[in-house]
Amino acid sequence: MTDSWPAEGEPGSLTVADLLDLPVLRAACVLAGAAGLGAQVTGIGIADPATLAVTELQPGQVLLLTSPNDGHASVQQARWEHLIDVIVVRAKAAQTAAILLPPGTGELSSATQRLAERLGVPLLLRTVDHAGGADLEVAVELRCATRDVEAAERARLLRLATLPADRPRLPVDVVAALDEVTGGRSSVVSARRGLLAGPAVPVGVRAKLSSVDTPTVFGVGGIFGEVLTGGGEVAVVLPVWAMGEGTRGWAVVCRSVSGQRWADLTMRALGLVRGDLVAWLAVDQFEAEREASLRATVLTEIVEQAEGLSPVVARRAESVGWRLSGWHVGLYIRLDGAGRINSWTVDAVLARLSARGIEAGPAVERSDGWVAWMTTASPPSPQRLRAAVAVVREELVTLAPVLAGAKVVVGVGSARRDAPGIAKSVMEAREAALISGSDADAVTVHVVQDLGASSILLGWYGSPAFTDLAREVLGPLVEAEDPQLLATLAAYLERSCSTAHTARALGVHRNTVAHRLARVEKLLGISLAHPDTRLALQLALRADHDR
Amino acid sequence: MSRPGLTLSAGDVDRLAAGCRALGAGSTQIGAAAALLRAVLTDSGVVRLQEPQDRPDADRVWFLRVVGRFREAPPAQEFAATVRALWAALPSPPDAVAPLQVGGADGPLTVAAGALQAVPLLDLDGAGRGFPGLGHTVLAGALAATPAVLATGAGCTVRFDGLSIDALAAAVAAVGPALGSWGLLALHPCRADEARRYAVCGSLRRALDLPTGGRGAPVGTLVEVRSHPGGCVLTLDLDDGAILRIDAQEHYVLALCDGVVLAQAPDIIALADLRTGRHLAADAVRVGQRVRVDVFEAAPQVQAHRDRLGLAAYGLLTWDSAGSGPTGGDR
Repeated sequence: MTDSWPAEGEPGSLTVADLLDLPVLRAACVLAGAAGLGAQVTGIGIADPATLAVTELQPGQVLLLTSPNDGHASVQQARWEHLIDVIVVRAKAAQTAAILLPPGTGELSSATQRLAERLGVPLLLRTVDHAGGADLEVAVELRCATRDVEAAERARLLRLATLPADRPRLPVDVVAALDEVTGGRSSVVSARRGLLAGPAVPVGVRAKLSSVDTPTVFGVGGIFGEVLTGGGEVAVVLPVWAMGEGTRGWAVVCRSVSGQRWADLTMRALGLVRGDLVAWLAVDQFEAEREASLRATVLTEIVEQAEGLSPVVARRAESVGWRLSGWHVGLYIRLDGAGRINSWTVDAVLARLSARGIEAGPAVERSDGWVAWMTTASPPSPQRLRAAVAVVREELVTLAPVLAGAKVVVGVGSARRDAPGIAKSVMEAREAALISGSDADAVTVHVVQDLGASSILLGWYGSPAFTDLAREVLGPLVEAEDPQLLATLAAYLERSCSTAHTARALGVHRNTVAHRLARVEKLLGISLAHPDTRLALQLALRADHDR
Repeated sequence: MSRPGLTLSAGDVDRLAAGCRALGAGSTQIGAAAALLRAVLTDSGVVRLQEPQDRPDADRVWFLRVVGRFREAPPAQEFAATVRALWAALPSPPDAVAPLQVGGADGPLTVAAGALQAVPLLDLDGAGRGFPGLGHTVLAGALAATPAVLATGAGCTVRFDGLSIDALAAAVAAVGPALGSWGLLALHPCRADEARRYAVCGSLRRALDLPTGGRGAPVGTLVEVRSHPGGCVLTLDLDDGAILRIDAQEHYVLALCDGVVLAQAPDIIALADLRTGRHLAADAVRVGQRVRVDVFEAAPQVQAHRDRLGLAAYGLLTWDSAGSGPTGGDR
């Protein structure tokens, strides 16, 4: 299956691929000529292998070959297999849609398959696993399906809608019901927990799942999802949303061969089970929030009790899966600006870090970000810590598309031992994130050891007395009509008092920067030429920023 | 117009064997049969190949057929003894002999038998090629199959009387293996004028003069040999980009080029190894081999029996009954 799916066919018409979605042909396989699966089907013809060569072919017809009724199948096949080559050529000329071979047909010669492939004439092989696989029954079912496609599809959907259920169905029940109605391989995937039910989603489709969160791509009867292709599969994907939380999960139905009608039918079927999925995901969300709340409480208690952790808290920590012994390196993920990083996003990052050998989790949400820590049995070497930080940076950079312009500042604490170490390292990480602030990059990572003298000042300018002083010093700028003045002053001081660098960072002319700085000096009644003044203003700005 | 008779010597054996090999679809017995004929002709000198019309009408003609299989040539003494036993058991001594089918081992061994008994060889046969069965000839139904005599290499002789050709085939198949691994069967005794009327004339000369690989013969590489209970299907990638399918049993039966008939039985399809030029039996081909597909038209008498000697002779369903085959196309 290629990305050009579906290949041909008028909208609403029945194609060969659609025919393969019917229960009676669900187990059929395509031996060759897949390029012709998009051909429109207008009727079903029947032929006996003995009369195959003289059978009249019609455009749009699917020619059903009946089973030889005498002798061993392989012996019989040797008597008529050569006629398939002939009929393939005739089918191409007559624009016949496909040739349906009887059950028991053994492997065809390479010549036959390649000829059908070259001419794009689908060679389909029926199998006998369908209970009513007799030639006549198959022919009748196919003819009925081609006569009134809509009615046949409605009957299938009705079956899904009327399946008995005395409670919201679990994902595993939903998957079973979808499999039966659609003939595909169904899965329910949670954004937080991963695969909930059904087989693993093909890699090519899974990689695109997170992009299916907008209800505008593929709409059938008011149900919006998306059709993805990848790994030789076509997947109909229905995102399941929660209020204000974005996509919570996806229901996915895959098939290797499918037509547009199948996609439509499958989307309708997904719509019928969406209620079950929303209900289940709501329960899942409730449990998730309860777990998050418990984690936050335990972390608070660990920080508060620091050196003298009570056995109760230690047990609680174990109950949420935290290992208290060992060496911990705190991570503080802070969003610089408006917005919020939701738990699924953080969990996804932590899962990716885990896949790269860095165990950092589970995360705990705080008022201004998320806390996590990496734990190792022995103290990590500086080199190893640097490498881990580099990986953290790489993974967080992948968040850029969901940050909507906001910037992420990550603080990394130093390695500390056991439960008290968690509290210390997490505090250091927070300080590192607060002191440094963000730069031009979407994601900035600061390690506390790199902060040097800044960390000494942290305790001082973080005090209430200094923040009050800072507010007073900067008051005229905060209250000024032009908000650019405060930003220009901050940028000027952070860039070593270089008007050129400041102009470049702000995207304005250096004369504009000089002009704004002159107004700042006038408003504050100071001169930026004095080093002491510059230091005082820089501390005041930092205290005001972290307030 | 009568053509002058031809004398076959040991020097003609290779040419005759190559022709019989091609007309017999690369029969694997040809090598052994040719070796035996060479030995016989080296000892006996020559054998006369006569035009059918050069024999008096009342001359007694017998058709000879090799029964059973051998990979190596039977010892010359064993073969000579078998021929002598056969001659002794015949109800009437032959004035001339001819192979039942020129394709395969019948051709060379009939020449050898004629040389040993100093009996002229008539330039005709019953098929103009090789076929799998005794009944796959133009003589079936036209000439009585019996009396017939089977002489085996083990020294036994069996006479059959009052049997149709199908019954004779069944009887030989039943008793032959019990009497030895190979034998010579003499059947379809007839007058020379009957032989001229019903048989395929000029068969041995055709085998001797058979061209190998005419211009335009398709050339390609064998990419698949798929066996099934009755034979195999070959797939060739032709050099011009076409896909050639060849259905084979004991012989190559049908060649479809891109789904259009290139050749079919009773016309003769032969696959020649491009490297050696030698025609190959279906069970001797291998994937990757470069081959040339030679097609030789069946004799007119055989074409007239297409319904019996065509694909149906090999049990394949055919389109002939519809009156038009998928023989169109530009190939």
